[in-house]
Amino acid sequence: MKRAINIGLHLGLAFAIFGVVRWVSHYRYASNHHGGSEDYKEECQSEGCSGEEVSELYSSYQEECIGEGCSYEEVIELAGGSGSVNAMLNDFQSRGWQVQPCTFIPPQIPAGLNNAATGDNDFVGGWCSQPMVDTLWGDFHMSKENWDNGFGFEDACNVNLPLGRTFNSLALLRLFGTSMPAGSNDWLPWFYPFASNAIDELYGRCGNGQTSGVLATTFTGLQDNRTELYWGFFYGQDVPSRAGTIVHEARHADGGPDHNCSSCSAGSCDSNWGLFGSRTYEVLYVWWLRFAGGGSITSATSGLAQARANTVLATAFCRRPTRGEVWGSSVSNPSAFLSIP
Amino acid sequence: MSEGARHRRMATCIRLALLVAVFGSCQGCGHKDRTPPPAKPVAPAPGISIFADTPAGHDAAAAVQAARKSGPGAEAAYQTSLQKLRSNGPEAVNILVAGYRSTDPTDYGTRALLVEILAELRQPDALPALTAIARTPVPPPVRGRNHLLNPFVEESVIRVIAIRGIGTFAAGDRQAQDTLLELLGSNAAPVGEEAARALWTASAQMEDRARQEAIRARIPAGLRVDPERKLGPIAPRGANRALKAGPEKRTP
Repeated sequence: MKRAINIGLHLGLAFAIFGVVRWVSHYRYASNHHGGSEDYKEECQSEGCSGEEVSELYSSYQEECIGEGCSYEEVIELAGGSGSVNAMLNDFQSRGWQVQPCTFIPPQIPAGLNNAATGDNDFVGGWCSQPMVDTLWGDFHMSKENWDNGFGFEDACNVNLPLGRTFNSLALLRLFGTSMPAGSNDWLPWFYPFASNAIDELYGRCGNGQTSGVLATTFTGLQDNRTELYWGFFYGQDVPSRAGTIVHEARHADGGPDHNCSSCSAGSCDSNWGLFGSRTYEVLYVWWLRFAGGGSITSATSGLAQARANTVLATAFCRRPTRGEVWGSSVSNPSAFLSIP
Repeated sequence: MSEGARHRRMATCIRLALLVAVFGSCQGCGHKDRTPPPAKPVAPAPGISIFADTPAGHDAAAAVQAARKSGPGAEAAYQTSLQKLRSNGPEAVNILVAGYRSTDPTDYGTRALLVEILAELRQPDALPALTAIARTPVPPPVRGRNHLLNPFVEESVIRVIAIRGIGTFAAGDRQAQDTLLELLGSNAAPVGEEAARALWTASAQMEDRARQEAIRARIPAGLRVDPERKLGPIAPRGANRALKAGPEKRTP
């Protein structure tokens, strides 16, 4: 009995320490308190700093933001407050040092966006009203601090900005309904409620700042559960592909299995179809989208969906999915590769 | 202190510790501002112009816009725009190819759509351009655990669309057949697979039986499948079909 109490006590203490550390680390970010470390505002704007001091600050910035997932909180902390971020980054740039355009406040968005071709100009007309913005915002449990500083909170219908581009992808998911009609076997309307129930919260973030970079990451377990969307999602994908990414991440948030092998060519590999992991869900969504009836999507959208689904089937599974795995062994040629007709 | 009192005290400590842990994990759940943003309509930005300021250029821009429409009537409007674009003859192909070449290489979505429209024109003049696009090597795969926008995948999608376009000519065009046979040996799996699918489908309509057999013999066994649209998508395994959207479903 004593031993059980002892174990319980130690476990409790461990939890307590973990909890306090997590709370303190959050508080540190929330309040921009920099805990005694040097920052640009204090070093350079108040006192006037040497090149060596700026170089040290840049080293920290480089470590956090170049080639890594860059957190706004870290940049703000390094600058000594959000008001000093741009001055710090401009100082770095004037010395010929590389900075991530998305770490400015507001972030510098890529030039030359072709919103007609990505579908962004078309979808916005369907959701840019207060009731629909409220719905999308509420369904994905979004919050101001994760979408302000130029990410679109102040200008939600502007599809050049991350929030508007995210709403476009959510609106496409929602286009086919918010629940499956009774007796229907069409699963396309299921993906919106699935995603909105599974994803705890959507955050807009810089990521590694590359349009050909990381798309999104979902965090689960004993931490702030959330799905972070990055520059690659906002500016590297068209609207249907973004919707596919939301479904992919929703499967992670839903408790789906982690990517569990590494021998596929797409990265983030799932070992096989039957795992019903994020890759299977991603293909299923795109497949149902291709089969959307009634002329509600064009043959171009349907053709793009088919090409993407077949490419993911050929590249994102360590064991190539077969027809038998999907339709059962009674289908003709069950050992042949599955492809989306 | 009695045994019972000690146990009660321990239990209180553990409860307190768990409370702190839950509080820590929650990371400030209580002080997030959930107020939705104001919906202020803005005029859509026209976006960059990738087509020449000519009648064919205008028709191409209209087809691009129509291709992305959704909702009732979207497909009919898109087909109308395609028909108008086709009426420009070979210039329709030239304008799309020029737009494709001038688009930022990392704008994969735009490039894929332009190739899709080029393929959907079904004009023989498009075959050389589709062949050139399909033959362009894809960059090497980027492996890793992160969910990346992988240039290998995105470029493969573009090649797959071009190959499907070539396939529409392959039943009666020897050059198209030879291109697809060559692409069967691609190192990029999506390219080789799509070439096989296109050849298998086209070969079903070939009148030259010897040629048909020779082509079919070269297609890997795992890809000798007729497209069957009646075999539709399946349900996610174990999914709750009664799910409904709404913020109230969420655990706070």
